[in-house]
Amino acid sequence: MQKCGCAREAVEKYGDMLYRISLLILKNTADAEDAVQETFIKYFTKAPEFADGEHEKAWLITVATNKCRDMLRYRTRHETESEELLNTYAVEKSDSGILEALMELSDKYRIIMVLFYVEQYKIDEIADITGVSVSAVKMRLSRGRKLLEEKYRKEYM
Amino acid sequence: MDKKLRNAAEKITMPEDMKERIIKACENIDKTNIERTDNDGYTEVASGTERISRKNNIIRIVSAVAACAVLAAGIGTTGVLLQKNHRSQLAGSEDVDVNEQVISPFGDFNELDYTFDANDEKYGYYSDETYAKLSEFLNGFSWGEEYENTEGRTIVQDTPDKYCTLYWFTDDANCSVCISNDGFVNYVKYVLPDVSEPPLSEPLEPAESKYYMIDIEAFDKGVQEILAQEEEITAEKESDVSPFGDFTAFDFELQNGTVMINKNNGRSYELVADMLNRWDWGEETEAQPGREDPFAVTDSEYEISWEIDHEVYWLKIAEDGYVIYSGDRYDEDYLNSEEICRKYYNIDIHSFDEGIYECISEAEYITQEEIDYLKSGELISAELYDISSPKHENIMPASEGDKQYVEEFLSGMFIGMLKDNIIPESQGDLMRYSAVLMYKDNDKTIRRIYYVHENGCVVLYEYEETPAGEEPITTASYSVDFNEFENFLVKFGADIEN
Repeated sequence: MQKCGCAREAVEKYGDMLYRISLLILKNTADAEDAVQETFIKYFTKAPEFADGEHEKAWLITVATNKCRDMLRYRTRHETESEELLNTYAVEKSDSGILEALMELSDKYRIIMVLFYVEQYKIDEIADITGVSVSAVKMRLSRGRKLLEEKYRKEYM
Repeated sequence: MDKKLRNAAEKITMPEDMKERIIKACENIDKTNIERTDNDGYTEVASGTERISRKNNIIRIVSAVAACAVLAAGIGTTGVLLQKNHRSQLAGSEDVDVNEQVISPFGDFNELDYTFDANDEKYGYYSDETYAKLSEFLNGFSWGEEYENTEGRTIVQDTPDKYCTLYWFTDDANCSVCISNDGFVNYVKYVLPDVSEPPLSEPLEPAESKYYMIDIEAFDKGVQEILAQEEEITAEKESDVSPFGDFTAFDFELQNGTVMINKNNGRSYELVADMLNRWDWGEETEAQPGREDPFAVTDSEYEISWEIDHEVYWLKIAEDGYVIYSGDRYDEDYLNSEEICRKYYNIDIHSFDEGIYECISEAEYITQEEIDYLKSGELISAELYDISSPKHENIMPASEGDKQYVEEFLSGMFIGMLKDNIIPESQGDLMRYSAVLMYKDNDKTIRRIYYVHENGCVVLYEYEETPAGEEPITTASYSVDFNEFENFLVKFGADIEN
């Protein structure tokens, strides 16, 4: 069990990152909150031993992305809240298009692209985090990037 | 564009109120985690974590990691299929140590999403009512003091000496309780390695084992009483028909927005018919002012219609749960009609909605009969090839341990993952894997080859090997979640990176 006082520290340290990832994958603030909360609860109840800060961060991302994937599998009827996202976060109009275009990609591309472009993980690290093969990560990055470009240029520029 | 994406995404931060809710939830874990000793001398962990929940529990399915545990523990792949079909208990299942006070030495069975396999060839397919009674019984049963098991006894899977098995999965562990015919109880828990670690080459060692010696007669008596009631429950359910008639006896059509379900939808249709028969429509109510006429109701969420001998019936269900049931009798030419009935009900539209959704999602997977057929025969070998490479490389793992996992996955869990919704075959360059399974069925040798495409399409070719060569038996198309399929292959050590 992690120490009680660590809850605030951990949420302050990793909360934004996990929320960003969860929100970009789930496209829904309420579900993203659930995913992050479940992740932190697991973190505090399981209290895993970490080699270093990077290991800890990767563990949290792995748990959060797994939670998100579980939720996506069963969430077919909740529409996205891209409008909400746009209003809440994309202050500059130029930012909104790229996020909206990202939201339109299928989740298998979105997860990989968020970890690569936003969280700046390397391909082999993403493979470890997501449990997908290195070649599949490369393929998804390449296709995802192409799709994102197409969507962005076509619809938001 | 990369920087643009990063800059835009980095503006996303967690709202402060949300942060506080999560911190509070985490802090509650610490505050409420107490150890106590009960009257029987068991040390139990009572973790009364109150989650700061904004909505109901998240429905989850067995994760890849938990499914991995099935193989590691040797429970077999049936377990995963059961988990899939035993979905009604999934909501709210999570780690044992959260939320509720532990009642049995293994956890609170009311909270566990477990399967009770009583060796009766029902493989744990019991009604929710039966599971509720079993949970109550298992929680209250006197398991006695922990048994020392100085003789190092274990219960072998599939032994005829086994009375029953209970098993369940959590995010990172799987647990089972095996009970033998003489009352010996063996609880084991396998904790799975972190997903970022390389796959194991040898089966996992249990993280926890406990033994008990119970009064098997008392246990059997309790279990048999509950299971005897299961037959009554099943018979009662089978006789259920709706107040509008038996939906399995006529052809109906259900429309919800752009979703249309009719007899062409096969299994979804059957499941929906069954649900409509069993649905609690409640007592008849009065018409709401201004909403007396079925055609005046314009906010219909669902419209269900059917015809029996020139009598056309409608069920219109509005988004607030208001239901109008009406029927008209038409003449031979359908030129004139007269109203023959009109009734009003009020239902819980959200539950109805969820029920319909469950039927549709449940129908995605192939039936148990199909699964049984595809698994029929004694498995002789299982091979996996990467057919995207020109050489069609065999990518079975080198180590015996991993090889066995992949064999079990291909011949068991993979078949349970197959869905009925057919995806068109992709072009050759997207055909990625072939799984070749050989079976001995009486005196026949059967070869089933599954071609798995990157778009999720799966095509099966079945052959019988004869002295004259291979004779095709059948071919069929399915689909699978390709991402999930590959994840399992990685977990079980298949060499798919090359």
